[in-house]
Amino acid sequence: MPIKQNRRNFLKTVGATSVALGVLPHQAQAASPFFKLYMMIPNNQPARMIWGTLAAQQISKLGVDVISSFVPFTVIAPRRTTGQGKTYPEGGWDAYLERYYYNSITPVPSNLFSSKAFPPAGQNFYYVDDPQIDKSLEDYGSSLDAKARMDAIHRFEKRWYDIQPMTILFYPRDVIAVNPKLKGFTATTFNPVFFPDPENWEIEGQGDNATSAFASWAPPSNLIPMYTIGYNESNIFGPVYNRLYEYENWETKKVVPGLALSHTMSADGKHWVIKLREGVKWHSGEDFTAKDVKFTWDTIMNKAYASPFQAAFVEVFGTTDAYKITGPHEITVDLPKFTILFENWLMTAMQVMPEHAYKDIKPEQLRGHPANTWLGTYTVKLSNGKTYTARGGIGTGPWKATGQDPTRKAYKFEKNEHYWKKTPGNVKTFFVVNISGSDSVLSALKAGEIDAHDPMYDIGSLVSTIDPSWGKVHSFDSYKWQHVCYNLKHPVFGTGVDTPLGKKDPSRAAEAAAYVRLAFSHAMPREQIVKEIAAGYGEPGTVPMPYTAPEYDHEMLKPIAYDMDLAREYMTKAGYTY
Amino acid sequence: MLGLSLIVFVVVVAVAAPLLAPYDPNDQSAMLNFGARAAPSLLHPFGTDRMGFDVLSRVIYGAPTALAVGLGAMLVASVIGVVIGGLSGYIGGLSDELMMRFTEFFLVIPVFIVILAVVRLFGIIVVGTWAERIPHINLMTIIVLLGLFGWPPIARITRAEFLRLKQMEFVEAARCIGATRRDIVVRHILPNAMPSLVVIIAIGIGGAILAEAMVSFLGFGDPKAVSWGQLLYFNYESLKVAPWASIAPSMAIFITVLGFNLLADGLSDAFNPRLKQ
Repeated sequence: MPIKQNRRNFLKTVGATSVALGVLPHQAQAASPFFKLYMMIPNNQPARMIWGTLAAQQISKLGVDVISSFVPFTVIAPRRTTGQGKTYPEGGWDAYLERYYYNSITPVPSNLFSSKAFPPAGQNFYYVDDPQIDKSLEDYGSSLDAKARMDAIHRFEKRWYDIQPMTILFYPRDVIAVNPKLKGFTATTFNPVFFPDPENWEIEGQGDNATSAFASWAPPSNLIPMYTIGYNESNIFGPVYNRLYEYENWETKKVVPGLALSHTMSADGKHWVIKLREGVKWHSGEDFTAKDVKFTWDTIMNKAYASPFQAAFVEVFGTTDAYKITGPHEITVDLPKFTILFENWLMTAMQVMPEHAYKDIKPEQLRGHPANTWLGTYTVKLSNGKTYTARGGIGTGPWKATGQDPTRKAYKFEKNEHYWKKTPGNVKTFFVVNISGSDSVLSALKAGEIDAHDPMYDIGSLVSTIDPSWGKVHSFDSYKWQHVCYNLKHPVFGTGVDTPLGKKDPSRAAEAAAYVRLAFSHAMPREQIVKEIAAGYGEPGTVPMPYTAPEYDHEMLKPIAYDMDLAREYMTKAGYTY
Repeated sequence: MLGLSLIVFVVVVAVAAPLLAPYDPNDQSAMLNFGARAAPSLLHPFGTDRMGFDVLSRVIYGAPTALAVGLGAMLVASVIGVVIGGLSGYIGGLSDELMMRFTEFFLVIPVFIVILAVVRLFGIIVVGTWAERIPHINLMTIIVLLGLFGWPPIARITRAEFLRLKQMEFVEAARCIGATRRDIVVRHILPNAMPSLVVIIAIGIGGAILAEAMVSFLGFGDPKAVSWGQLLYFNYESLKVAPWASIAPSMAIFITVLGFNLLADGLSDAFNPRLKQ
């Protein structure tokens, strides 16, 4: 059968040629990679995907088999929270990228990096477990003396700089374009301290009844304050609630009374008496009292509600016996020891929730409740026998939640005409809309559909395309940083037990892991990332401390050199040979 | 002819990519030297993109990926489509009914959602297994999925052709001389059905290339593969400040898909006896 023979020969030839030429593109691989690292790159922001891809490639140049994947943050979050330190193949994680910040203007690194704050009750998703870091954070948090605190935070920074538990890539500057007719836009967004603050907005030419919209990139997962750690969420719930103390504005970052009018503190910093503001009403019409503050703290302290702030609250209060109501508008606190967290985080950053509205919601129901989702309505019984129907969270803040429109990805607010503080703006109806993409948000601004947006859009590289007729550009020190974080229980770059040095001398395993991380750190071209991807809006990163914060030790924290030779030297120190 | 010329051009570029591309496709030295988003120049004829890649090199290295996707997906789709459509048309009766309903079921599945979900799931399942060592496993998955969901049109055309051809006199003649059913199908009916199949397969190749570009554009592509869709994904937001990085891969997709569509058009005309007269 000559025809069949020819066909077979033809197929063989084509097959062999295809293989020889390589039908699929090839990628050069290290002959024998030292180890494998799975890097998850959140796929919700092209700019971050770019530096994530670059970071993965730079690490692979050190002889590491980096397997990167673009994933939504919904994939990362459960892996880091419930992974129990497991590696990626075991269901946990190895490395990922994120933009992060402290939950208050005063840095509170113990919430993120103390060994007491491991998940699920805490936010130390990275399992930073270093005695020197713990000690410095303990000293920082528990000292009444400002100088001693500054010394302690500098020790934290020094230790971090030396062992690089994660790679801080850069400190972004937030760039936001707004409607040029919008006045009173003075702050970037920052969870949970700064929100869009539309009650201060004045839109020219819209009289006394203006409508305004703010774009936020990612949709929220939760809208009950104690569940939220992202400012995509605080952008929405923030304008609804109040805190005990609040910040005057972004420029001064000065603390001013919120729901608390004043407080006294004993000499040892343990005994506090807080006077609460009288005459404040919840959106339902119910009076705000000390019971609401106690209810908020009790709820967060209750493990059944699984708040990510629970561990930090326990660190502050110890138990719920630490505070008690001593008057309708007075609460007395006896801390087990002084901690900076109480005044600078708990009182200034945590929103107060309404007891009358949320107390009957069971822990297992709260995440799916309309108070958290803003979908649908729910009815609240009031002390005067009447009822109030809510379409979202109930707060004391300047804005009343009026529900979510899932088809338009919009959250609607009406101005609280009975707000306890006089506000200057003319905006009476406000929307937060979810828009994905930098180009899309600028198109929406140009079309007049939005008046401002949150800084997630990283519009720095597009500033030259914004015409002053439709967009006014603001830039803020962001108080955030972009990092590549590592699972510090990983046997190579976490504990180091699987590094050649760690295997040879287990007592030096942690040292070996630090060498690997230092190698990663020196492989990152930070200046290039800032200039080329962030369009110059930022500063190269060193440690998890806002670059413009007074606590940042500019003298000690010299830029980390991009030096591949030095990086390979560190790998060699960890026992890897090239 | 134009279609064929365009495809030959793309194939030549794909085969000779290492010789034609001025830089390695993964070379980000422009970024490291503060030269990302640089306008076209002698050094970088198509400029550099946001990631510091040389756009020309990435476009050139995207060609083998596009062809692998187009040809690979259609190979899978053709095999399934021809087998199911051929059996359905030749056997007829209840088998035909069942197989056509099965085909229609595949036609109504939202392919993209399935592809995105499977790519994500597969990316998790293969972790730590032997499959992970397969180069470009994500891309392979996309190719196979495009093939697995791209066969129904081929099956329907095959069935129609088999229904028509099995009544023809030359098939009757083959039966009379004692040809086996296998011979009748493989040596008599299938070759005569090929003209119609080649046309739909050629169109399918263009469609598959476009589909992969869309999957990559949605951020679900293979991070290690050089793909035109991914190039677009990473650069579309810089369209106003670095248009070259988006225009070049867009043109590459346009040329390739146009080439296959024109080829299909040409083949359709070439196989049409009425046009020949």
